[in-house]
Amino acid sequence: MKILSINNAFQPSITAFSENEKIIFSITAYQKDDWPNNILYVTKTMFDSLGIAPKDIELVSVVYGPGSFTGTRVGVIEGKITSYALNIPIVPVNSLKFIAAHFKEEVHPILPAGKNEYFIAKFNNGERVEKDRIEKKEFLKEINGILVSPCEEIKDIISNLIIINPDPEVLISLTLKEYADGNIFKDPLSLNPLYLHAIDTIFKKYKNGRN
Amino acid sequence: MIILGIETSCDDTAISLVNEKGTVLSNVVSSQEVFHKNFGGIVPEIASRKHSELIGYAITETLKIAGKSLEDIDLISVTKGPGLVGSLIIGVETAKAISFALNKPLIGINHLEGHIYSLFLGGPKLSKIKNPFPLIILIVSGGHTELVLMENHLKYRVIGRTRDDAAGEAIDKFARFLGYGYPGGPLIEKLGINGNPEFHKFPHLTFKGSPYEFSFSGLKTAGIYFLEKNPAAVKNNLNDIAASFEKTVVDILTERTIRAAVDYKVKGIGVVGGVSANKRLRKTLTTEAPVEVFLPEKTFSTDNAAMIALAGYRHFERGEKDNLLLDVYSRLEIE
Repeated sequence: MKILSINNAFQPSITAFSENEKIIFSITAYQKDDWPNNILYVTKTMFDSLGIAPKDIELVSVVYGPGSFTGTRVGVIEGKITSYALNIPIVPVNSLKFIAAHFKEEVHPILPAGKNEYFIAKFNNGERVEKDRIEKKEFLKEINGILVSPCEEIKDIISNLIIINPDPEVLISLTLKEYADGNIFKDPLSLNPLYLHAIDTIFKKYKNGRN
Repeated sequence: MIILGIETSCDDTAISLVNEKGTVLSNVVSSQEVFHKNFGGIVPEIASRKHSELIGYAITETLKIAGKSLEDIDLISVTKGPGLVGSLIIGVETAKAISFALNKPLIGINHLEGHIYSLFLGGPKLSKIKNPFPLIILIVSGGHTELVLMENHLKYRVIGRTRDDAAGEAIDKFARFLGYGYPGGPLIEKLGINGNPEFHKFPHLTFKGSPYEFSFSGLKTAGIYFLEKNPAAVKNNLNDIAASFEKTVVDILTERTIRAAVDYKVKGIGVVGGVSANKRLRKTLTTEAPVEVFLPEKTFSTDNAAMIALAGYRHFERGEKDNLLLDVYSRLEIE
């Protein structure tokens, strides 16, 4: 099965094209805020140079959050509209699960959630132990266990944080596992980003009449 | 040729299919008004979330109405700016994904240029006149107030714009102060129908040496100040106040537009954008203008994707297209 996998929920972004577990190509990149998102551009460039047609894709997988609001949304839109246009299924991959899947040990994957808050969960050998939640910065220091993240800036808060470089191979094997487990959206349009932040929490200031 | 138009610059998720003649095959606008009205204005994060939830279904509905499939599309035309970045990006990434998956050409369009092309969509008589140029176009909405000299297709010169608030924004904020929700324009219009527009004279600001420039911030402040200082009038003469405020905005727009039309010796005036649906503006301009006034069909005066599709076709016909690095722009001038 030929799979296009996308991560834009956190940095670095990943585009990978694989045939089952074998990677045909993968590109890991740090997207700049003032540049247009280049995931589809690099994918098309690689397809053209390797003689692959988008119609060869049989499955799309996308990291659907939690993560950066805009980044996650862009990745999910790219993945789900590609899947919709090609009339193929899409598999959502949880970002914290993806980070934890790099370890066999019990780990707490962490991603920034903005405003001194962090997305966090607990996994053991890639299996979920605790659900995704949002915690304040102060709480991170109290966690006993291995904390892991792709974000260097969290090291300013937790000195023993393990920084990972997200591996496209891990994303692909997790995609195949999710697919085998039946975690598939047959209607790709019904896939939406996992925000965790409820609208009411984010928009308190608007409730006070500010705009 | 079938063009898929995508417009998500603000809070409407709009998709349309149009052919090269400007005939609209289907037009879907999914309004988010209900999600924003409790906040008294558009919340960018809500707008972006809703666009990403709705856009695929809006495309499906548009195709279904026209009896077409994505494979039938010859060109994808999408709004690239100006607008809310978080909203624009959903439309642009959607367009890019369809272009990538099905190998269809892609073009990014200026939202304001799209509004100009609402005049050339299907029904309005302007699309049937062989050479209507030059034209003066008044673009007037909740986000924009500009006067554009259109010398030919795709040839524009901005000759005036607002220095602060857009006309529609001033009306919305005036309505909000009165306790009305978003958008306030249609509510003020409704209130003012039976009011006396001469009840109160609000200030009518002009700029020496800049006859085509607008300013609505001072008018908005004067309006809110009047409401604060005259609670009795607000209680007893609300219809008259609404009519007077609306008339002032309409008079300012009409005076500048007609002056530009006379100075540039144009063949006609076009009025586009959400406020072009305002009845008082339509009546005043058509009565007072020395040349013919062209208006889009009411459906196409507010944000829609048919206008983006047609503008995209005009550029594509000239050999232009974009690649998958197409970006979004919060600010963008008409070129």
